[in-house]
Amino acid sequence: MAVTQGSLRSSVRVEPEEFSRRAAARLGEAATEHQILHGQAWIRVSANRLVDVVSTLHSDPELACDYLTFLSAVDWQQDGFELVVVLYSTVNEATIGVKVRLAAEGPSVPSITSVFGGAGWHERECAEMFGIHFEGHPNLKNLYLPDDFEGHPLRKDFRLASRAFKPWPGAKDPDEAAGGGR
Amino acid sequence: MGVVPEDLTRARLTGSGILRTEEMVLNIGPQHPATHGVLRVIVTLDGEKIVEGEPIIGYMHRGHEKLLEQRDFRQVTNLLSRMDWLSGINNEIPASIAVEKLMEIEVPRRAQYLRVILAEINRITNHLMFVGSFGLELGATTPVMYAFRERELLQSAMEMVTGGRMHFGFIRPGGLKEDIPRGFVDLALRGVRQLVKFIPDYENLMMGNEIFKQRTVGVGVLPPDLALNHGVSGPILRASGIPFDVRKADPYLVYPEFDFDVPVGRSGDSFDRYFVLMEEMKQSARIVEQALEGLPEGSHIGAVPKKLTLPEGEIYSRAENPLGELGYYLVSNGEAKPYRLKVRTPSFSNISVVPHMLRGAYVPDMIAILGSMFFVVGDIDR
Repeated sequence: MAVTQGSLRSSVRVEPEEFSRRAAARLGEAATEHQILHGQAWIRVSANRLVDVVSTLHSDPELACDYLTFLSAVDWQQDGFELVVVLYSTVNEATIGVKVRLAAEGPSVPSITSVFGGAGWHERECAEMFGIHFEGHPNLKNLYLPDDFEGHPLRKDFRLASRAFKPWPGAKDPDEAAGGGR
Repeated sequence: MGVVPEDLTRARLTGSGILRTEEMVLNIGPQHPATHGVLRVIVTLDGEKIVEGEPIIGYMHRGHEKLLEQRDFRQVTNLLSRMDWLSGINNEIPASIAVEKLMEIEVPRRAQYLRVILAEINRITNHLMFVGSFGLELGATTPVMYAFRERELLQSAMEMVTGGRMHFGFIRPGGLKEDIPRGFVDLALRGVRQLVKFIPDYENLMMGNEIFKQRTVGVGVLPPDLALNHGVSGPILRASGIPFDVRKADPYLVYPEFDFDVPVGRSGDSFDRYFVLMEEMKQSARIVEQALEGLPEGSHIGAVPKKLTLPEGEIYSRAENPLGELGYYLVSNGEAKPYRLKVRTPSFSNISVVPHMLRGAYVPDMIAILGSMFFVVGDIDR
């Protein structure tokens, strides 16, 4: 049977500043650029330390990031790709984002599926959309796209076909529209 | 009578395994009424047991994240409400919150209250859909009729305010498109009161039903650690005993001002998931009543510049969608369009755990498991 109230796992809210300090203490020099953005802690790590860092964030009892929020990437063109992994701790009610900068040519990063099995789909999506290789992923085939699809749609140099022919119909901004917009 | 080979006779008599058995691969979908969209599952069967089940997604992939990069911030709302078509308002809210936080726009309290009211009514209509359709999937045709009777009243309240029944496009950065019309408060109150009055009927009809119990109790158990590892959220995670609710854990809008509980289950089976869904409707009804009573006067939209140009920056904004955590990771490079808008949808993470749940289950239970995972395919595929 089920219950209505009363949690089976207790959680105590840890403020983002305190959580960020804890992460800094546990991760040492593996993490750089500690930041707090809109109530969430963010760190930067290098690609070869990613699995270690995620593993520590997951299993350290003080951090206990047990929930995989998401994994994705941003294409910064000539500045490479930014891999973003966001984790959450249901024990500490705190969020931490991990950023990894990857090369613009042949981006590759170790897979975190050994720590978060649930990252499998996220990494597959990221691989097909951005062309990022995840080393050690058990099954890195396309998730959404057909197997013979060419290109990586979320890269900035992949043009949206309909917009390549025809600009967006109608004025986008009030300034552009005749008479200064609505 | 022919001659029976000796070893075959022995196999018949003793079941010694000499008869050759082999696994069968069965394709289910891409269409099935139990999937709320176009999901395909490839299952490997050993007799009636599932050895391996793999959902194949992407039949509804519309490339939302690419399209969003071509739209300005007033236009993204209309795309976002099309991801999870059962809860448009809930899809729109965190996107507007992201824009408001980056631009430091203040949202009037009346607008925040109205957002909560609309979001919770939308949560109820979403839940009623699943309460009804889960019965349908298990072969009970009556519950959906009842569920749609209550749903209609609330749906018409939504229609009265927004003019739409699915794709509302009503939440704007800074507030709402319009204020509520006269008569809405009464209609919404009538809707939630009627719902609360009839919930015991649903409970008796479904959860008190012996056949329903046999189909769901102990079926599709999702252990909490596995769920967290896959980022499963919403009623499905809470049914496994984890009280994670974004409205409480990372409060937004004016949720801290309302009194409501977070229902949790204990065993994480299909029955508990259904139970949590049912309980959440009662809690949403409580919130709607409180918000309608305390609805402040004032404007429905704050001071918003005509042209929305976001400063450079980034934000991860999340909200409790009816199906779980919905988050937008917005990166702005100072233009009128998002540089990148990653959409973290609840159904995507929730369905990624399904292969683990199907392993070892029986074929007829597959429908009970998938049906109790409460997903919208548009929300998985985006």
